[in-house]
Amino acid sequence: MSIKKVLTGNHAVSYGAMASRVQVISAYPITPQTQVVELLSELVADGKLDAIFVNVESEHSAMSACISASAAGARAFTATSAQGLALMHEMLHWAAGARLPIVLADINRAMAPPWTIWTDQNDSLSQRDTGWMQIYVESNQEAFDSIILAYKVAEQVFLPCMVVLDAFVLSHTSEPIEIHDQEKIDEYLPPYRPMVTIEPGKPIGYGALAAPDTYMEFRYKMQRAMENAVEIFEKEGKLFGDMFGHSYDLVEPYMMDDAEYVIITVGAVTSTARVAIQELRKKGEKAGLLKFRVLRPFPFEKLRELLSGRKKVAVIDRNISFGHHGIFYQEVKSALYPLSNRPPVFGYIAGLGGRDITVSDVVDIYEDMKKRETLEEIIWKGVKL
Amino acid sequence: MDIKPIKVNSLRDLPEAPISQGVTLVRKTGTWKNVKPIIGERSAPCENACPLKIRIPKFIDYLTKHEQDKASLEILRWNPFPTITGRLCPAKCETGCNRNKYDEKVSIRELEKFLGDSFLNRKHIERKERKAGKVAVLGGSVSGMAAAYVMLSEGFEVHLFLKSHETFEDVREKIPSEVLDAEGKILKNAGLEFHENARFELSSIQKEYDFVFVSSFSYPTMVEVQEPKTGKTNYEKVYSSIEDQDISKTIKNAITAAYNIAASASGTEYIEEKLGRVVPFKEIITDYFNHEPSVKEILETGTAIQEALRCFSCGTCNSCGNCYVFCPDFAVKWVDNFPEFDYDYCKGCGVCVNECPRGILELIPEK
Repeated sequence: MSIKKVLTGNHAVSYGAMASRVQVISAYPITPQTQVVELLSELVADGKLDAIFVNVESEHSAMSACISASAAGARAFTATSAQGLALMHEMLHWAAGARLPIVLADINRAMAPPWTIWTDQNDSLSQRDTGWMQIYVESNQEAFDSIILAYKVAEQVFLPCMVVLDAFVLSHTSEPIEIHDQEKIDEYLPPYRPMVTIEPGKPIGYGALAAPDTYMEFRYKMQRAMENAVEIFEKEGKLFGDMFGHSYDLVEPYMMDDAEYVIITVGAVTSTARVAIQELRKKGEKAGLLKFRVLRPFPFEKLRELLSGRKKVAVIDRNISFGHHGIFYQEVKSALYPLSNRPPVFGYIAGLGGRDITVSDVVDIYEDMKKRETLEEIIWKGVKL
Repeated sequence: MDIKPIKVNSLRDLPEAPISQGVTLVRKTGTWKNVKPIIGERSAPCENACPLKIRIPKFIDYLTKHEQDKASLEILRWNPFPTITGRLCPAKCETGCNRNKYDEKVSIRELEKFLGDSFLNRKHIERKERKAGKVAVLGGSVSGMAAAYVMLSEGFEVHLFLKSHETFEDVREKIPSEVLDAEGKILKNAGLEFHENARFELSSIQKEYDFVFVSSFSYPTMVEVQEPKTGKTNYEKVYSSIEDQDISKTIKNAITAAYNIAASASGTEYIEEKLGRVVPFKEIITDYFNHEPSVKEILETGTAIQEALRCFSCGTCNSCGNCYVFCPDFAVKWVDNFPEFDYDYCKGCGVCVNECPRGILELIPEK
């Protein structure tokens, strides 16, 4: 039977990992992620979760331990934030290149310096090209559900997956969560079957040298796996809805049917934007919201389908690619380029380093976009000029 | 193993993940090494300090593995009377114990006493199947009894001549008589012939027996030891031993004479097994041990094992498995609960040597 619990985003992630019956957890604590692994270590110590908790001295080692565990056939989990994720970087490439379906929860924290512990997306987006799938969640329930979903998809395409949630806004904020019936979760997520297993008696080389005559083919296979993952995300997201009452997609429209002006958000800001859209609708605006949930694999088709023919689009980026502009903004524009009736897209940088993005900020952005005539490369929202 | 080249014409010729297509055992990575780990000949300070050279870490190892009888038998290989030494010896082993430098010595003598006492009703002398000859032991002191014990086990027909009817007369006052009587009974059961209230001349005994051992406690002026290392005296085929304040030295001297008699009877030379180089405290990796007070009195198996587990087991492999666990190349095999090196795949990294908590492994140059 499913039960309701009031949980912070961090603990929702821990319970998601437990519900996924992870077998090896290796992690290093870092604010704001610490509570995720703190609770998991307790659950393991209390015998409530049958897993091995590997203490390590760094995030680099945490990912290394997960890689070994996953290659040996165990379902492996870790969690981190910001500098910790950056320290993992080398091994993130390794996990993806070795095609190991590890799941990692990244509690979005802005990169230092200047020193900070608050949220933005530059840590996870810096890992965009490592070959990891990335899910950005809006609520604690979605964080819980997405851990399970991440394993379900990852273990089919043999690519690792990151579940990303906002520091403090989600990680340290309590919400009621439905912990689904474990039997049904087990039915949804069967035990991990590795592509190959390594064993001492029959050693094989993992990730050994590939000369120029074969390297490119392995990269081609990774790209194909990513492309296949789009369909699997759709299918598994729907199945999740059939079994647990809430389905998930790669991008999710809100009041989009007749919308002329669309705002695109990522992560917890989506909840704020929902309220703004409701207010705008009350004023008679044909406003719509598009929640960008899965960045990798990239949902080309869905984006084009949902955005073609709209009057204007605004992307709110809680991140920045220095010298360019917001990263989701780039990604959306690149998807729309082949369309003949593509709408103009405006990119707003907001909420860096945990600055609040309020309902009125979203309304402002909406109105600003609506009256803009010319495209600008970068629009800063709320910076003290 | 055959090495087959793999030709890649299309994606289908490649696995999904970058994994080798064959077993990597074809690559004998052991050829890369210039040094290799070996199980060195090492020993503990305790066993070196012990006059009887009892293999202390060895018997403690049996005890920690819940093989209590084997532990007792291991002591009896070196010392016929742990019931006596366990009560009376000055425990030089404990003075030497490396654990003194960490927290507190291991209560070795207490363990020895426990293992001696608890085994007493199952103790019997395993006799070699041979007719070694006929010997007389003159005097029933500890040295006489110890010599008799060894010569019985070496297959001699042993006759014990007592001044009165009393055995172990030198320790009677210090040891419970039921223990000494039990020890005496064990010798009797093994075939020791008792001649009580015996009156004799050495020359007549000499004629009747192949060899004679004289207890210099019981008969201090009868003979004179000329070669302390062998126990030879001023009489042909008559051996004796020097008494010492340290009871374990007394026993050592007596059994050495007995072994020399046995060697002489079979026309060989008695050579004592040597101990390896001592493992000093600085070679012990103390990170692997918790600070724990010693158990001062051991009366049952539980506390015996608890105390035994405190032992660093300096220089003696106790199957801790660190080398096996830490080897990055699975080149340490685990055979019959002990490590074995697979030099075909050992790269000589030395992690096993560094992680052996008790200084057993060493790296030597590869030839």
